[in-house]
Amino acid sequence: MRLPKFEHLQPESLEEALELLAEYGEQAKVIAGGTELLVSMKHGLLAPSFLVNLKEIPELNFIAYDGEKGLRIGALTKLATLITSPVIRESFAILSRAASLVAAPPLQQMGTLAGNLCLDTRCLYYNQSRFWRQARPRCYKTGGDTCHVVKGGKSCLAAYQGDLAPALMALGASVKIAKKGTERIVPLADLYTGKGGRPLTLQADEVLVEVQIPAAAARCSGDYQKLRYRGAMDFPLVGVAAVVSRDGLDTIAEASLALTAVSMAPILVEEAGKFLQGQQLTDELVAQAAGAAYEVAHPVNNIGSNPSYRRKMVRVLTKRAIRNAWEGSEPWRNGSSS
Amino acid sequence: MAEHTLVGHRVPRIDSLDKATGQARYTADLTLPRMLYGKVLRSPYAHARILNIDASRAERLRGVKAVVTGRDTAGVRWGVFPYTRDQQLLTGDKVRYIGEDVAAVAAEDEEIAVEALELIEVDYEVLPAVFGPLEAMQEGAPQIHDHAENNINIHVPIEVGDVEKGFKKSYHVREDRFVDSEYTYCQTEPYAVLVNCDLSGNLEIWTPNASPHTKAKALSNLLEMPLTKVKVRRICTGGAFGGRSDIFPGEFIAALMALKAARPVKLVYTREESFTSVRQAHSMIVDLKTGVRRDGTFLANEIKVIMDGGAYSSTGPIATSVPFLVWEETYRLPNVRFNGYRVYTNKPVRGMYRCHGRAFLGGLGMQLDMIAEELGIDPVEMRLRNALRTGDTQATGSKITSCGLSEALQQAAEKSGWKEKRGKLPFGKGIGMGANGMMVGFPMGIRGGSSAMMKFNEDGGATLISGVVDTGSGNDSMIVQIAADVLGLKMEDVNLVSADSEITPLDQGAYSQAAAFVSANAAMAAAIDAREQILNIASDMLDATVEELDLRDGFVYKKERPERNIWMGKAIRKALMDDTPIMGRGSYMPKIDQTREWVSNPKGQQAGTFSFGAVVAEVEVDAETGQVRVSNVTGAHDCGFAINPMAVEGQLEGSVASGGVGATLLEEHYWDGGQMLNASMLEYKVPLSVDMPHITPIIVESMDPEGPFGAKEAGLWGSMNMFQAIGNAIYDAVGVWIKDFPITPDKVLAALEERNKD
Amino acid sequence: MEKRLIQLSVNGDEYDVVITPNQTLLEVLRENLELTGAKEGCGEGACGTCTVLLDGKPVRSCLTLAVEAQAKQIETVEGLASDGELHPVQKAFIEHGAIQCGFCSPAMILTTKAFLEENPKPSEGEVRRAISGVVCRCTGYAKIVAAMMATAGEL
Repeated sequence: MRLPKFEHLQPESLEEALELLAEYGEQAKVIAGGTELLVSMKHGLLAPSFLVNLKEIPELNFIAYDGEKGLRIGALTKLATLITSPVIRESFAILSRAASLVAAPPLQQMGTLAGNLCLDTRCLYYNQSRFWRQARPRCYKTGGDTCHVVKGGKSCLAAYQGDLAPALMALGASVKIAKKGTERIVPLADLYTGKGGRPLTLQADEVLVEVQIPAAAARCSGDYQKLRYRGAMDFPLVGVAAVVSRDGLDTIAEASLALTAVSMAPILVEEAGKFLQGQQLTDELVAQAAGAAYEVAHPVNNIGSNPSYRRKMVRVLTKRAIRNAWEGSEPWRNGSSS
Repeated sequence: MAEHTLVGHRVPRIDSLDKATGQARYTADLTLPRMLYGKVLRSPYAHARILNIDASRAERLRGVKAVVTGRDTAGVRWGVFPYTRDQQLLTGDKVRYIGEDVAAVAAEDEEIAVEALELIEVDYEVLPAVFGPLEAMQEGAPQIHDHAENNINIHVPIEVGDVEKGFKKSYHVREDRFVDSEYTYCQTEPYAVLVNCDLSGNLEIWTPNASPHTKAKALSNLLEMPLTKVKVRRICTGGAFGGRSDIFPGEFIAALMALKAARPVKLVYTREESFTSVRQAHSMIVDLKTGVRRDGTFLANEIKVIMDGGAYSSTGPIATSVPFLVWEETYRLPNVRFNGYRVYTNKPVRGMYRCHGRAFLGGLGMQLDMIAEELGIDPVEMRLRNALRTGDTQATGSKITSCGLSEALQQAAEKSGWKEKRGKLPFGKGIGMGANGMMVGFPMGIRGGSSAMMKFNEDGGATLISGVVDTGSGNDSMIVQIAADVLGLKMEDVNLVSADSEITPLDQGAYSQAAAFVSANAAMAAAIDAREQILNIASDMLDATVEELDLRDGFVYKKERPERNIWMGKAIRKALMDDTPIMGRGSYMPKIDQTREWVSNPKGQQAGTFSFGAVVAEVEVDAETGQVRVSNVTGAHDCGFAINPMAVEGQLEGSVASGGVGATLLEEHYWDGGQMLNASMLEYKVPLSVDMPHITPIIVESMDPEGPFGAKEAGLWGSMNMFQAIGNAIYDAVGVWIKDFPITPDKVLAALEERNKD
Repeated sequence: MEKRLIQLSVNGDEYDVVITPNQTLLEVLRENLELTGAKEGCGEGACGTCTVLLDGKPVRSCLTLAVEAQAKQIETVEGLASDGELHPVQKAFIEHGAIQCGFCSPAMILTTKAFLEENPKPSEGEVRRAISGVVCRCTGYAKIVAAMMATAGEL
C-alpha cells in the first residue's frame, strides 16, 4: 500500500515546528511515531499536504521528576521509555503498566506518549480502505451524513481506544498544549471533545508538548486492566484504570477511576471517585464503583466483540483494577492529598 | 540397508538457509526487465449485472499498456470439475460478490495503474443479494447462478446401512446442532502473481501455489493455449493451508495483460484483497443425530451439513464431502446418512482449508463427550471403543492398511495425565480430548499420482526432478532426504528441481495431504531405480553380485569386505561410456478406486491410506470474563513413519496454533451484508506467540505398508482435532457446552450465565 | 512533491538513494536497494514481516518514512551473515527447525538478535513477549521460541 503525496518537513525545534503549523494549518499534520497516521493515509482517510515531523525535536523527548512539582513527560517520549523509566516504574507504575499493554514491543518502540493520547477514534466502518468505504454511503466521520453502526444514528459514535489516557486521567494528569507564541495547560480530559467525528480539541496549529502529573500521585497506587482477545497487538475492547491512596489500613483516602474504549473519549468516572473517597474498602463498595463505571459506559458494535459483553466487562475489570490498586498501595497516615 | 543414515533423523531442511538469509524469493520480490504493474478494479456490489464497461479513458492514459475486461476473455467458464464450471475468472455478465474482479490495468508504475482504474466506468444494475445459506435456499431468494435452483451448488448424499433401524435399536440417541462462522487462511504472504510473456506467446508464471500443474492446466484451458506455452515456475510460497491450489482470477488477469502488452506484468494484492478476493473458508451449520449402543459404540449417525460456499464453486464437491469423510475415517459407522449442501451466496469464494470445518469436527467430537457423560463412560474409553483399526473398512468402503489411532489415543491420555485430571481439576480448569482420521491423497484422476526422475553428474552428485510442491511444510527437503538416503549420498549432494510445470513431471501438489505418501514414493522409486542401475554397473566393476553391494557416503562397497569399493562417480562415468547413462525414473499412483466420485459415486477406496491422531488440551477458563486460555497441549499423531521428526513436530505444533488457539477461540469474520468488516491482520485475530500453550507432540509410527519407509502424512492433526479437545476441556472446566465456533469469551460468559440461572 | 537525495546506512554500507518523501523505508529497501528480505505482509504494521532494526531496535519499516531513517543504522536480514559465516541466530533457527514457509523468518531472526543482545538470560515468557508483534502462521511459534532460548547467552 502506497502513501499519497506530501511534503515532508523536519523542524529541529519546537519553535520551528509551531511556525510551520501556524503557516500550514489545516493542510498539515504532525507525525510522531507514525503508527496511526501513516496507516490512515494509506487508507485514504487523511491526505495532508504537509507532514511536520516532530521526531528530531529533543525538547519534546524527556522525563523530569521533581518531588514537589511532580512528573513532566515530553510528548515524543516513546512508549518503550515509559515502560522502562525507573521513576515511572517506581512512583507512577500504572503508566508503565498501561504502556506495556499497548500493542507489542516494536510498536512500543515507535509509538509515543502524545501519539497514544491523541489517537483518533476508531470504527470498523471507518478504518477501512478507500475501496471498502466506496461500497457504502459516506459516514459522519468521513464527512457524510449517516452512521453504519447505528441505523438512524445522528452523530458519530466511533470509539476512543487509547490505553494511556485512562491511566493518566486517573493520576490527575494535565497536558500542555502549544501553538505559535503561546501555550496553555489544561486537565487531560479537556483534550477530548467526546465526539466520534472529531475527537480532539486540538486546533490545526496546536501541538501537545507535555504531560504533567501532580507529585501527590506518586503516593498513590494504581492498576490498569485491559480486555483484549489476544495477548498482544490489539486495541482495548474495554480498559479500566484505578488509582487509590490509603488512609491507614482499611480506608481509601482518595480514588480515581477512568475508562477507555467504551465511548468516544476516555471517561473519568467522577461518581466513583466521590463515593470511594474516605470509605472502608469492602466488596459492596467495590461493586458500587463497578456499577458507577457500568452506568457511564456505552459501547456500541463498532470495534469487534459484542457491546453488551463489553459493558459487562466494565464491571469485572473495574473490580479487578480497584482491588489490584488497593493491594499495591501502602498505608499512609493522614491522607495524601496535596 | 540395515540402518538409515538420514531418513528418520532430525535434519535441518534444505530450504532453511535461503529463508534465514533473506535470499529466498517470493513472488512479490521478483522483478523482470520492463515489468508493468497491474491493478484490479473490483466490484463494490454484492450482486449486479454489468451493463457496460467503458475503459477508453484508461486506455488512453499515458503509461498504461494494457486494459482488460470480461470482453477480452474467451468467455470460458472454469471449474475444478467438469460439472462445476461456473466461473468466468474475469467476469463478463454479472458480479456476484464485493471484491470480484471486473477489469484490470497494467501500467509503467503503480501510481499510473491506480489512476487508470479511476478512469474505468462501469454501469451496474444492482440486483438483490443474499448472504446466508439458509436464506439463499428459500423460495424467492435472489438467483445467483442460472443453473442452480435454490442456489444449491452441490448436494452430496451418502447412505450406508439402515439408519432408521439403527436409531430404533440404539440405547441412547442425541441430536445437536453446531454452528461455525467463516474464517480464513491469512497466510503471511499476500497473494501476488508475475507473468512474463515473450513474443512467441510463451507464458511464464510465478505465483504462490500448491500445484503448478493445476494452475498451468487451468490457464491453458482459459487462454486456449497448449500446456507447452504455459509454464508455471517454482517459487517460494509463504504458506498455503489449502488456499493456493485452484486457479484464481489474478493469474488469469495477469496473463491476459502480459499477452496484450507483450511485457511482464506483476500484480500484488493488498492484505484486504488477499482476504476478500482469493479464497476463504466455509461457514457451516451441522445437525448431528447420533445413536449408540449401551457400550457407547455408534449404531446410527445422521449428519446434515449446510455450507456457505460463496459466489462460485471452487472445490465444491470435495469441500461438501469432507465433513462426512473425516468422521468415517476416524470411527466405525455401521449405519450412516449424510447430506451435505454447499450453497451459493453473494460472498467471496470459499475453498478447502486446513482447519476444515470447526462445526462438524468440533461437533461430533463434542457430542461424543456428551454421550459419554450421559452413559457414564470415560471419553477416552468411548473413543477407543469406536476407533477404527488396521484392517477395518470404512463406511463407504475404504480399507485401512495401517492405523495408530488407538495408540495415539492411549499415548495422548497417558502423557497428558488424563486419569489424574479429568473431572478432578478445580473449577475453571479442565482437560478434554479430540481425535481425527485423515485421508492421504484422494481421487484426482490423472493428477492423483506423481512421477520423478534422477540424473547424475560425473563427479558423483545428483539432481532429483519432481513435481513435489513445498509451501512451507518441508516437502522439498523430505524427498531429498529420502533420495539421498537410498543412494548413500549426503543431502547437499542431491539437488532438487521441483514444482515447475514445464520441467517437472505431473504431481498432485501440496494438496490432499499427499506429499509424503505420493510425491515421496515417486521420488523414492526414482532413487531406487537409479540405485539399481548404479549397482548393476558397479557389480561388474567390483566383481560382485548386486545383492552383495551397498551404497554409502558416495561409494559403492561390498558389504562383507568394505575395502572393496569404488567411488560412485566411476560407475556414473562408466555408464556414460557404455551408452547406458544412469537415469532414475519412478512413479506412484495411490491404489484408490478411480471410479469413486464425490457426488455421483461416493463409494470405494477413497485414499491410499489414512493418518490418525489424538490430542488432549488443558484449559483455564476465567469464569468472570469467559476468556479461555489453552495452557497445555499433549497429543499424538500417527504419521506412519517420521521421515524428519523435526519437520513432523513443526507441523503438529503449527496446527495447534491455526486449528486450536486460532480457529477454536479467535478466528472469525465479521460481516455486514456482503462486506467483511475485519479484512485486516489487526482485526482478524490470528494467534500470537503469547497466545500459545506449551505443546508436547508425540509421533506414533504405524509403518504403512505402501508409504515410503512407512510414511503417511503430518500436516493436519491439530487443525482437525483441537476444536473438539478445547470444547470438551471447557466443559470439564466450567460445565458448559459451546456449540458455536469460534468459542469467544462472550459466548462462554453467556453460557455460564444461562447455566447459573437454572 | 519533489524527489530528493538521501543517504542511508544499511548493513554497514552507505547508499545514496533518490526518493520521494512518501516512500517508506520498506519500499526503498525492497525497490531501490533490492533488499527483499523485509516483506510487505500487510502494510499496516499489524503483521511484523516488514521488521528491520533501526539503531538496534526492531521497527515496522512499512510505517517508517525513508527520510526518517537517515543518520541511523539500518540492519536487514541480509546483513547478518558475515564473511560467509551465518549469525548464531540464523544457525539456531536452521538447526531447530524454526523455519517453515520462511515469510516471517527475517523478521523473527532480526527481532531475536536485537532482543538477545539486550537480554542474555530471558525467561520463556520474555522471549514470547519479544516476538509477540510478529505473526507466524506455520510454526505455532514453538521451535522459534526453542531456537531463541537455545541461543540466549551466546550473543
